[in-house]
Amino acid sequence: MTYTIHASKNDQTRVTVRINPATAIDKARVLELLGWQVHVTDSSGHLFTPLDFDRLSSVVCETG
Amino acid sequence: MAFGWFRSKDARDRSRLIKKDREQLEARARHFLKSYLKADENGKAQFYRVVEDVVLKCQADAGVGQPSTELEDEQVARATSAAALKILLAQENNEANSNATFITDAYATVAIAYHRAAGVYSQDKPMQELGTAAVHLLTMATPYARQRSDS
Repeated sequence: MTYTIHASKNDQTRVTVRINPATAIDKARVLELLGWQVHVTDSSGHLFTPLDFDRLSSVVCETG
Repeated sequence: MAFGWFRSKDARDRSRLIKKDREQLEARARHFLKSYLKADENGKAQFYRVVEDVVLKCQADAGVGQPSTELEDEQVARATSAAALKILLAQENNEANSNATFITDAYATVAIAYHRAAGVYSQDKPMQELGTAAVHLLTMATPYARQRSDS
């Protein structure tokens, strides 16, 4: 499974891919702190907004 | 040769910042984050409110409150952290009660979160972990503040 972080700010967009979900959430949170609008998608097509990051973390912990 | 010099200067700069953060911020941020974890739901809401206010003050002080394309993320993060430290040092001498200490600890947590976001702690695992926890708290405070301003 891969996790893609989509970030946008001031007409800029950034897409970053991570294999580790914890690393993906961490990267997304740092970008959010710096004012980027972020969401994460996984390779199954699920979309996670910042409000879902805890849910994504717990899913990862349960299945990890 | 020149590249190596710049890299070592950058490493020295980060080491200096980490040393300073350990001395001035670490204990306060750890205390703040531990207190947050122990708090009930109402207590946690108070942490979110304070953190959000502190972030806004630091961004205003650093001049990075408005969206800007001119500054890189690392510059924004470093400037916000520096503003938090500056306000913390000014407040430290006026800690008359536990509420003042609580707010000063919030500034330490915000300063650490933004140094974590700037990548300052990438070679220091304990500080990186502390910074990650601080970033987590700050990002949790954002939706809470948004809810507050909508209602």
